[in-house]
Formats: sequence, structure tokens, C-alpha cells
Amino acid sequence: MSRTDDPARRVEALVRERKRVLDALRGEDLTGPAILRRMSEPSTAAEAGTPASAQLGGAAVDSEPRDQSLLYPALHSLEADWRLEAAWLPDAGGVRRRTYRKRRFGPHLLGEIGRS
Amino acid sequence: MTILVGYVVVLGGLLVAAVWLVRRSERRLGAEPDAHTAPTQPGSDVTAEITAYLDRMTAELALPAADVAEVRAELADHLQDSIASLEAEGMDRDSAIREALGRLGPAAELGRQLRMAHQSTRRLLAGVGGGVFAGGGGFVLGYLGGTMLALFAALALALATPVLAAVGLRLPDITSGDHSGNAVNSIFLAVATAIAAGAATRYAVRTSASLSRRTPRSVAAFWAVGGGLGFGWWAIFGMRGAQSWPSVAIELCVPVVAAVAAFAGIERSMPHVGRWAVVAGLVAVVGSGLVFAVAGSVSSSVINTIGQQPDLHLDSVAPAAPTAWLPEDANFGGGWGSDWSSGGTQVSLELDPNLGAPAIAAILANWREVRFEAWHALPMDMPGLLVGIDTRYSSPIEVQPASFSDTSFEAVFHLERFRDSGSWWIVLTAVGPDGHRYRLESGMGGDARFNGSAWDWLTAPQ
Repeated sequence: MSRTDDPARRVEALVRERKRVLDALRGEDLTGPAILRRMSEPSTAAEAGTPASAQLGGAAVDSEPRDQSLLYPALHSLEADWRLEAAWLPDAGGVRRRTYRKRRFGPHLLGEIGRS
Repeated sequence: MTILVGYVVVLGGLLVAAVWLVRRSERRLGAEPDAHTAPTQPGSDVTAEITAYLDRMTAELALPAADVAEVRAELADHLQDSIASLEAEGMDRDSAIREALGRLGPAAELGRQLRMAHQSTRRLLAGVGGGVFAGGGGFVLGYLGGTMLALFAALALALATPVLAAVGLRLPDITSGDHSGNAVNSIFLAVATAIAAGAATRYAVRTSASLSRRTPRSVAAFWAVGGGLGFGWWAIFGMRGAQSWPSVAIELCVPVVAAVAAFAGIERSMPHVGRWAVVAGLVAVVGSGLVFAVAGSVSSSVINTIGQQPDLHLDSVAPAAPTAWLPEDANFGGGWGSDWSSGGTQVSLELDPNLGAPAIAAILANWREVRFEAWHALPMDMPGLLVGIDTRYSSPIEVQPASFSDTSFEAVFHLERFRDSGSWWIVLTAVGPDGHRYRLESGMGGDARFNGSAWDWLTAPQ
């Protein structure tokens, strides 16, 4: 998480945050705040293998609760890596919000095929 | 014909793809998001505290304008959502704002993290590849535009020259003595190349910036060096053809043009290039090419009507060989043509094979240091002028030793490497038994135009 000055730990934290974001999306179209709420749910926390207390808000490296500092770096880096795609879609009230979804096809599939 | 159509289709397809890529990049770099990107303004209830936080975060982003707008709008939306949730939990508004901002962490750190997230290695590679591709398209567009600009400039100059002359202002005539049109053609080519290099570099900078999510200024140095070296090398060493001093001067400026184009006003949007602009450019260039081709065929027909004059002033080269050492029946036959392997001019003179080997051997025994001499000749592309050695010159342009094989003397000249060889006359000479040099044959004439790079022009022998 960004609250540490150690670059290696920051990278580790970002990697974990990316995994949690991918787990939270579950093939749905979600905005950033919705993903955050999903990540705080116990089921997501259990899937990510981290205590729910640390999950709440996204912190994994430090113990500061409700730390959201890596949520958007994780979302945007996943988008840059073609794992997610984002679009400004209107919600029920007609307000356009940035919405994320998993890409069905992308470079990550090559890696998964290789591993299998 | 099939190859030509295929060439046009492939080149046209690449051009259209490059223009599409550039236009897409311009949307990202521009400050005006379209319907698929961020709202132009974050929500109306964004407080000064949130705006200040976003400003501090934005200062660290260093992303294209559209990405900055997206990130700001997304974070503003997130903060409003977060504040509303905290207020719903019973927190007062000021505390909720502070808490929501605190959860996102320090603004500068968030900005740095987001910048690193956007500027991934994959996007950097895409930026390099896209920049090269867009640079190619930009070069073609710049070349078309540059050719049109040069045509308009030439037209304006042609119209302005008599007007200026009427008021006593005479422009220097760069075409004087250039009957072949080399100077004008080479200037056209050099201007078009310089403009194309500048356009290509700008397209490369802006497209690679958009694809790699960097600001144009941050990638400009890379493309300035790449464009300066690449286009500079091509303009100075690689681009071969007719040259003149003005064209060489312009070609020497190409690396500077490319480097400056990468920086100067690079944050400003590229001019919009619509499909009709491309069509108009193609029509103008193809049309002007046809006009020049027709004009060239007309002038060629004039040149071909020149008759050969009896006195070629060959004695100014060397006296004719005495018949005692070169019998009158030792007729030479032959001519000149292009030497395809080197691009030079191959000359060949053959002794009459009917003389027989003993007679030929007897003739050759009289002569040593046999060589071909290329001399300046009177201009052959000017109607009504005499043909023959130009007696204003006291020395040959180029001398080549004649190699003898079987019954022929042969040599290869590179008159295309001289700046001002123009019309030439090549004569076969040799040193006789008395130690004096004589002319063995009347020789042959032709025209040579410089054909090489700007560097060849600068280093050409006089």
C-alpha cells in the first residue's frame, strides 16, 4: 500500500490490490465505489485470502483501515494491461460514471493457456 | 498496371490507417472529450478542498489532457460517493470530506501511482510502434502538402516576377543555365522532403504520446533525435537524384526541421486532415506530375532536332593521329550507353575487325597510354547552338585509361558525379612514337546531369 515508503512493499501491495479488484468484478460492470464495496464483502475477502479487517477499504500491507489509495492505481494499471476495459456509462439516475469490466480476450489469456 | 494498382491500394490503405490513428490520438491529447469519455465538469457540489486535492494530484499526473480530465472526473465522483456514504453513517460534512480524502492518501502520492499505472511498458511499446506508423503516414501527407505548397509558391513567384521587374526589382534567376530543369525539380523535392520530415516527426510525437499516455513534450526529445538522425541521414546521404545548391541547402536543414518540429508548439493540436484534403493533395500532385511529363516530352522533341555541326573543335583536345601510325582504313565504330552496375556512362570504340589481327597489332604497337578524355561540350539541349568541344575549357572533365579487349577500347565515366558536367564530348587519345599525344577518333557526345545525394554534391569534384 502507498502508506509504506518501501518500493518493493508498495509493488507487492499493488499486486494484491489488482488481484482483489479482479476477484471483486466477477464479470460484472462496476464503478470504482461499487468495486470498493464489493471488496469489503466477507466473501471477497475470503477469496482473496486476507483478513476481512484488512480487506475493509483495501489495505493489505499496513493495518490502516479504509485505505483506498491503491484502488484507482490498481484499476488503471489493469486497464493499461488490457485486463479491464472502462467506459463512461450512465447509471440509473442518468449520471455517467466510469465503469469497469473484465476483458474476455486479452494478453492475460496467453499466460493462462501457457500455465494450463 | 496490376502492380501499380496494388501499390496505390496498399499505400492508400496505410495512409488512411495512419490518419485514423492520428485523429484518434488527437482526441486523447485534446482538451475536448467526446461522448465516450469523461464528463467535462465534475459534479457541481465539489468543494474547494476537493478541488485543491485534485489539483495537487493532477500536478503529478503528467498525462494527456483527456486522461487527466478522466482521472479528475472519476476521483471527484468517487469522493462525492464516499462523502455521501460517510454522511449517511452520521458524520458531519467537513469530517466526511476530510475522511474521504484521507482514505485516498496523499494527493501527490496518488498522482504518482496513477501516472505509473497509466504509463505501462506495454503502452510505451505501443507508443513507439504507433509513432513510427503515424510518422510514416505523416510523411506521406507532409510530402503531398509540401509538393502542393511548392507548386503554389512557384506559381506565386512566376506571377510576382514580372510585376517586381516592372518596378525595378529583379529576383535572382536560379534557373539560369539550367535548361534541364534540374534546379527547379531538386528544389521542389527538397522542400517537399523537409515539410514531410517535419510533419512526420510531429505526427510521431503526438501519436506516441497519446498511445503511451505521456505528454507530447516528454516524448519529444526521443523523436527529435530519431527524426533528426533518420530523416537527416536520408535527406543528406540516401535521397539520390538531381541536385542544386539551393536544394542541397534545404536538404541540410532537414535534420534541424525534424528536431524543431518535435518541440515547437507540440502541445497544440495538429491541423485536421479530412478525406477531401487527401484527395485534393493527390489530385494536385498527380496533375502537376502529368503537366511536367507533357512539358518534358515537348522540350525533348525540340532537343532531338539539333543537327551535328561539321567543326567540333577537336583540335583543341589533341591533333588528329598521323595516317602513318593510324591508317585511314582503321575505322572505329561504337558508342556510349549506361553502365547499369555503377550508374555511370560506358564508352566503347571498336577497331574494324576486318583489318585482321596482324594489322590491329601493328597499329596498337604505335600507341601507348591510350585513354578516353571527357571534355565540356557546347550545350546540346539548347536549340540552334553549335555542337562540339567548348573551347572555353583548357582541361578535360575526366580522363579514364582505355582498356583494350579483343578489338575494342572501353572505359566507364562517372560524369553524373560532377556538379556542372552538362554536355560532354569524349575523345580517344594516345601517345604516339614521337612522344606527343594524338587524337585517335572523333569521339561522341551527350548530356550528363548530376545524380546523387546532397553529400555527393558537396563532395563532388569540380
